[in-house]
Amino acid sequence: MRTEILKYRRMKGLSQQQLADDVGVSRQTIVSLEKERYVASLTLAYKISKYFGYSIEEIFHMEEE
Amino acid sequence: MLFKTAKNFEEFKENEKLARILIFVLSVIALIGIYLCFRLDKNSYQSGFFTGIFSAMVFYLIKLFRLSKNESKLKAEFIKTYDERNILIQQQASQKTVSISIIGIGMASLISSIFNMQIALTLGLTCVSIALVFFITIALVKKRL
Repeated sequence: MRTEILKYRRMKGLSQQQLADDVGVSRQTIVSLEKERYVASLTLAYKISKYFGYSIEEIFHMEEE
Repeated sequence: MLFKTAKNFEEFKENEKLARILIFVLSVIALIGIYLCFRLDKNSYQSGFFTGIFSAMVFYLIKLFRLSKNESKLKAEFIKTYDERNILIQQQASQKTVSISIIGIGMASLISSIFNMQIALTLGLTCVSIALVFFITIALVKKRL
């Protein structure tokens, strides 16, 4: 799963901690999501997308095998 | 807090209050246990068991009491407890721990059977019990999901 979290977070000028606090997860989760080591649950993906004001598809891209 | 059942921060605060009461009750029970062990002159294992429980409960009670006095720390604890990555890490670690424990105890039981049959049977029974609890838990969780 590829994500655009880093791009949108930088566009908003937010720190990882600020984003983590606002969506209710730990900073380590944001780090893992940005490094694409961890795949967010649908709930978290929805929260993050809603937070940035974009659709889930614009932030999370499914990589074809 | 104890069973991760809160759906939001308000529920988490309520659970935290309940957890404090429960831990207080458990620490009182442990204290009674310590008193009875000394009174009835029980062996050191039993008094040590209750002392251990009491110490852990007091430690946890102090931690919860400190958290309840600080809203931001409580919020941080809520995030730490319900962070989905943390939950996944714990689930995967628990699953691996059970598998490793079953294999380890099984091997220990097999080796100890050469020297002492009583120890081998105890370990074997422990191994079977862990496996049984594991599979029953899986069945119960499957019903819920």
